[in-house]
Amino acid sequence: MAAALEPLPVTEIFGSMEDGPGAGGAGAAAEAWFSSHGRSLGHFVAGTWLKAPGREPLECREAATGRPLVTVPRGEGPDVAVAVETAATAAAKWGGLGGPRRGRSLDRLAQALAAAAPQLGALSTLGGGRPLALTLGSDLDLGLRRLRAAGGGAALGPPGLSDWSPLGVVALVIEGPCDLATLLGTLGAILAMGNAALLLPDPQGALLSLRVAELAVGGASAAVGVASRSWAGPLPPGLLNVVSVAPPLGHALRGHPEVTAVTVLGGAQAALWGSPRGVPRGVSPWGGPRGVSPGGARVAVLVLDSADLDSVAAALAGGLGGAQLLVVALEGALGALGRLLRVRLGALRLGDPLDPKTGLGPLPQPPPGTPHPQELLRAALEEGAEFWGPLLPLVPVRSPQDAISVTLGLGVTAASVWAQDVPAALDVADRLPLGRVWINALEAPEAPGEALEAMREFGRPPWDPPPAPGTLPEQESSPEPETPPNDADVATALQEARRAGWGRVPGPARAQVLRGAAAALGGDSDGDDGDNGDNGDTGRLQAALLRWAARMELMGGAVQEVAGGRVLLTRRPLGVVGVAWGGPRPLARALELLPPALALGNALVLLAPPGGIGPALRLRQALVGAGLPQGALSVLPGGAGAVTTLSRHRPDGLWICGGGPEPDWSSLGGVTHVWVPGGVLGGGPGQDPAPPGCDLELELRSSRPRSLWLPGGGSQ
Amino acid sequence: MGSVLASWRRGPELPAHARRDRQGRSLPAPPGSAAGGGELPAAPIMAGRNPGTKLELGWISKVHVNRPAVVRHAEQIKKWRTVKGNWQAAWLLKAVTCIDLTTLSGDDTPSNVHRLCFKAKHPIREDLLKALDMHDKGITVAAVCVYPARVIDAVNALMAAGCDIPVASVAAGFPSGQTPLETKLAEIRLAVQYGAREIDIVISRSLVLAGQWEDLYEEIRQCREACGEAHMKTILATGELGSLPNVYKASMIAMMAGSDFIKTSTGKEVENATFPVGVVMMRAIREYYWQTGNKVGFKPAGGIRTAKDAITWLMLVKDELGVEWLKPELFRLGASSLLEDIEKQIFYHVTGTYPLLHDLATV
Repeated sequence: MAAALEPLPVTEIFGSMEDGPGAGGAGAAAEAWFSSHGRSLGHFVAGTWLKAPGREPLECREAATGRPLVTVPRGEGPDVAVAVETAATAAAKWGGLGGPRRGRSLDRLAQALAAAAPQLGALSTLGGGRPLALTLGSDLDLGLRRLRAAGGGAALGPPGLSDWSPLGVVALVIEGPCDLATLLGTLGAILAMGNAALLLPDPQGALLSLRVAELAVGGASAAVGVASRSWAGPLPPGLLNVVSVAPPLGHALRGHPEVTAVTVLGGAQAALWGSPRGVPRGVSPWGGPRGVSPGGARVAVLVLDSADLDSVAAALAGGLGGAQLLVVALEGALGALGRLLRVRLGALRLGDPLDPKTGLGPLPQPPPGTPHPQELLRAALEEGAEFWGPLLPLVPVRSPQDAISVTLGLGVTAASVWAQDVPAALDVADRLPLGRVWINALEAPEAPGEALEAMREFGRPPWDPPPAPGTLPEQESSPEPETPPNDADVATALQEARRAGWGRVPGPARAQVLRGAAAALGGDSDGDDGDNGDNGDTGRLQAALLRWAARMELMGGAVQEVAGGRVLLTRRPLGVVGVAWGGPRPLARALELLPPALALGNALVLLAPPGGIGPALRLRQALVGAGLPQGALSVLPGGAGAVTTLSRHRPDGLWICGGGPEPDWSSLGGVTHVWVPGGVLGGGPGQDPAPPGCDLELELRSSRPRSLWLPGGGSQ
Repeated sequence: MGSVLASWRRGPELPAHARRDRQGRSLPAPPGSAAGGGELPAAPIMAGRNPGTKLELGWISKVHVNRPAVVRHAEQIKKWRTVKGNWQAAWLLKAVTCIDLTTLSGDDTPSNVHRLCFKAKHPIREDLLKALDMHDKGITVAAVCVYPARVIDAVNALMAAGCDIPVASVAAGFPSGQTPLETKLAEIRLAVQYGAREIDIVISRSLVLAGQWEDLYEEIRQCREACGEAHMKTILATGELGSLPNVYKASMIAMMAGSDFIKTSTGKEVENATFPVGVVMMRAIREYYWQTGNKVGFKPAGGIRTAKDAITWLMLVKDELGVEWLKPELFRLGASSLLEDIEKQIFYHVTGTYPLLHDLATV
C-alpha cells in the first residue's frame, strides 16, 4: 500500500479535476490485523492459532508489489495430522446437528464476514492483486450470496439430497490466490452438507483463508475456553482449519483416511495432489475456475451487429481487472467499438489495486510455462488480432457463425453475448456449449440454484457407502491377460467423439435413439425379472435405455429470478467421456452407465475388458442402428493402462469403472470431471435393481449446469 | 407567414410602454436595439456555439441502448467513484460554478428572485472560500434560471449587484411544451428581449413519441433562430420520452438542430434527471462531437439536491466525456436547493462541524 498522499491544495485540484485517492480504510484494516499478530501468523486449528516450533516461515507477499506482509509457518506432517483429527471430530458433531441449525450457523457466518467486508476485500486484493472495487464489490457480494444460498439449502434440505450424508473431512487445496466468491461458495457447499474443511493454502492464499477461519469462530480468543459447552462465533471451532503449505504438497494427505475428498481451488491448472482414498470426489464443482478467478478466467465477449456498443465498451473496461477478456466482434461493429474502447481504456485507472478507484491492478502472475504476454501478443497479431489498452484482444469475424467457431477455439469458460436483437442473441447463446453465458452483461449474480448444485459434490448418496478398507467391488469375470489399449486408436476415437455432434441433438431426439436401441436389443424388455445371466442383463440395459429416454423427454430446466433479471438453468453434457471399464476387477454392469451418459448428450469412448467387449458392441450396434452418430460411442479393448491412456488424451470426463490398484491420480490433472462409480448401479446380477434416487447422481455425473443470464426488469 | 417569421427573426421593437414592468420600472433594452445604448456583452461563459447540421436521419437509424447495462454502469460509478477531503471540496466548488441557480415557481416574486441573484453572486460564504484559498477565483454560479416573466427582475438584480452572471429563461411553453409553435417562438424572443442570455426551451414530446423526427428538428431549429445570440439549452423531458433509445435520438436531433446544451428535465416531470438517462445523453453528445467536431453542453436538472448527487454527476461527465467537459461552458447543473447542501458540506470541510440554520444565507 502506498503511503498516504499529501493532500493537494483545493486550488490545484479545482484546475485539474483529478479524482484523488479513494478511501483507504480497507488497506488499513488489513494492516491492523497483521500488526495485531506481530506480522507472524500461525496455522488456525480448532478455533485457535497453532504455532508449532521449528517450522520454516513462509512469506506472504503483496501481489501488486512483492512487499512482504506477514509470515506463516510451513505446515508439516504433524500439523496436518492435528488439523485432520480436529476436523474429523468437528465433522461428526456438525453433521449431526441437522440442516436447520447448520443453515442458521452459515447465515451467521455470512453476517460476520459481511461485517468485516473491507478487511476481507483488502486481504483478497493483497494476496491476488485484483482491484479492491472487485474484491470488496462483486466478489464479496457473490461469495456471501453463495454462502447464504448454501445455508438456505441446508436449512430447507436441498431438493433430492434429503437422505444424503456428509463426506466427513474435505480437504481444500488452494493453489495461489483464490477469489472470495469461489472460496466462500465452496466453503458454503462443504459446510452446508455437514462436512468439516481442512484448508491447505499456499502463502498467497493463506491470508484470506486464515482470516475467514478466524472470523468463523468469532475471533481466536472467543473460541478459547468455550469450546467445551457451546461456541461463541458463527461456527463451532474445528470446522474450518487452515494449515499453510508450500508445494509440492505431494502425499501429505495419504496417511489420513478421514479425509474423504480433495478439492483444488485457485490456480489455472487445477491438479490433484494425490488422492487419499481413491475417490476423487469434489473436483472443482464449478467446472473449472469461475470467470473471476485471477489467471485462470477467460471470458469471450461476442459483439453482434445490434449491440449497444457504448455499453460493451464500458463493460469491457470495467471487467478487465477481473478476468481475461477476449472480444469477438462482427466486422460491422468493429470500427465503432474500437474507437469507443480506445477512449474507455485510455481513461482506465491503473495502479494500486487497494485504491477503490483503480480499474486494473497488476497483471496476474501467469502459471509457470505460460509464454510472456509480449510473445502471445506477437503471435496473435500475426493471426490478425488487434489489441487495445492493457491486453484486450479483439478478433474480427464475419458472421455470428464465425463468432461461435472462433469462440469455441479460445478455450473460454464463459461468454457474454451482446445484441439488442433478442433472437440473434439467444441463437448464439444456445450454440455456445459453455457453463455460463450472459446476455448483454459481463458480470452478473448467479442463481441460488447453482449453490445447491455445488452441495451435491460434497455429499454422499445413500447407495454409495464409504469404502471400507479391504473390500473390493464385485468381480464379474476372472482377470484375463489383456492387451494394453492402443494409444492411436484411443486418440482417433476421442477425435471422432468430439466431431460427432451428439450433444447438439435435441433431448427428445436423443430419447428416440435410446428407445430405438432398446427395441433393437430384442428379447424381453421387462428387465426386473431377476434372471441371472445375459437375459437379465439385457433386460436391465433395456430398462435403463427406456428410463433415460423418458427422463430426457420430461427433463426441463429452471428459471430463477434474481436481482436485476433472471437466470435460465439447464444442464449440458460434459462433452466426451472416457469410460475405463477395466482393471483387474471390472465393475459389474458398467454398461448401464452408458444410457444416462448418452441421454444427456455425451459422446463416449469405452475401453472395455475382454469379457465386456461383446455386450458393449451389441449395445453400440443397437444404438447406431437407431440413429446414434458413429463417433458418439466407440468401444475399444481396454486393460490395465486404460485410465492412463484415456487421461492422456484429455477427455472432458473420465469414469473409472473397475476396482483394483489405485490408478496414478497425478496423471488425471488434465481432466476436470473424474468419477469412480460406487453403489449407484445396485448390486450384482440378480441382486437389487438400481437404488431409487440414484438417477440424480447419474445426472450429476453425466452433465454440468448451464446458466443463461438474462438481465432486465428488476432494478430501478 | 414567411413575413411574420422574418419580422420575428429580426426581433420586434417593443413599444416604450411594453418595456416597463408592472411596477413601472424601466426594462433593460433588448440586445441590438438602439435604445439599449450598446449591446450586452455576448455571454462570456459559453463555449463556441454549436452551429448544428442538416438533418442526418442516418445518425439515429441504428441506435441501440441496453437499459440494464446502462443502469448498472451508472450504479458502479456512483458506488466506487467518490472523492474525499480536499478533492471533495474542489469538486463541490466546481459544481457550484456549474449551477444554474433556479427558481421556477408560481409564487416567484421580485423579492425572492432578488435574493436568489444575491446568492448566485455569493454562493459560498467568503470566509469559507478564503480558508480554501479560493476567494479570488471568481466562484459564482453559472447562471440564474427563471420564468420569462421574472427575467427582468433577475437582470436588474444582477445588474445592481454589478456582476455579469447571465440570466437564463425557460421558454417555449415550459414545462409541458403544449403550446403552438408561434407562441413558443414569441415567448423565446420576448425572453431574449427582456435580457435573457440563455434560453432553456422544451421540446414537444409528442413529436418524439410519434417518431416525427423531421418535425422535431424543424421545431428546435426555429427555436434556435428565435434565440438569436442567446445560447439555447434544449430540455428533452426525458421522463416523458418512453425509452432510452428515444432519449438518444431526441438528443441527436436537438444537437443537429443547433442546441448549445441538451438538458434532461424541466423538474416538473414525475421522473427527473436520472443517472442512466444522463449516461445516454452524454454518449450522444460524444458521438455528435465525433461526427461534427462541435462540443455540446450537458445539463442535468430536476431532483438534484445533495452534494453527493452533484459529485456523481460530475464523475459521470468525466467518465463519459472527459475532463474538458467539466466547466460551465459545457456542463450545468439545474438546481434550486442543491447549493445549500454544497455550502453545508464546504462549511463542514473547513470548520469540522455542520452549520446552524443562521450560519448560512438561505435563498
